Amino acid sequence: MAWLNFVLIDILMGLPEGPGVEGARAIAESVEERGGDISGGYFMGNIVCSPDASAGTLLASVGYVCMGIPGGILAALGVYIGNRLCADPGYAGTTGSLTATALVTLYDKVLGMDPTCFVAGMVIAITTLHGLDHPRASRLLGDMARRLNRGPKT
Amino acid sequence: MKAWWTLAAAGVAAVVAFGTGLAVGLPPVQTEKPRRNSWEVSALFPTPVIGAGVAVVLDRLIGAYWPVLGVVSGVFAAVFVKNIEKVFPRPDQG
Repeated sequence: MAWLNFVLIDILMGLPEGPGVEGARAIAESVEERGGDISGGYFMGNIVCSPDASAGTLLASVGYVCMGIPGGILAALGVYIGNRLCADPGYAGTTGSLTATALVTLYDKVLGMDPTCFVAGMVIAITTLHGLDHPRASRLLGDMARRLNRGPKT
Repeated sequence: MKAWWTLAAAGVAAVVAFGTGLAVGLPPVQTEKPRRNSWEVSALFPTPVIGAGVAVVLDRLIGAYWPVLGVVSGVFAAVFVKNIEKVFPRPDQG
């Protein structure tokens, strides 16, 4: 759930369309040189260079564990400020925080799942994209982006 | 339960932030397209998020009567977002 929340929100908010900063472009070109997909590379570069829905999902989960729903709202504010400091208009991170708060609340209150599972799930989700195999992860992300009409602009 | 009053303050702050944002001249939503790339701010984003977040912070730090916290946070958020370029300027394009 954490993986789907952050990947879908980030793709829909246009992270695979282009680099937000030069660092993201450098990461994308490096991934492409190693056989990866430039669109997925932009996605991976952008989530490194700015707190997007990945950080939003993680921080909202942590906030929920600490303070309940108000913790998720506080995470959204913190992520938005972080976005503005990182040359990012903030749509992906803020939306990701709020949807993650809704999801964790639903799973905690309705299904009785321990909210700390979302924290662990988000760490595993980031590891699958950034910790195992960059070219394969970027091809998966690029394919998803094109299917959702969010492929690279150039 | 304490968390419900915090949530009530955050909800009031979000609504007041949206209304005050319109009153101070922010557009209801971003007018530039595509909106996901726009640096323009509006009454819908990020004003309610800032209002609700500030209400949570104030509730934890001060713990005043929740409607007062909500209104104060909402008005602060609208004025802050109206002047956000002075605090967080948009990056140079290109």
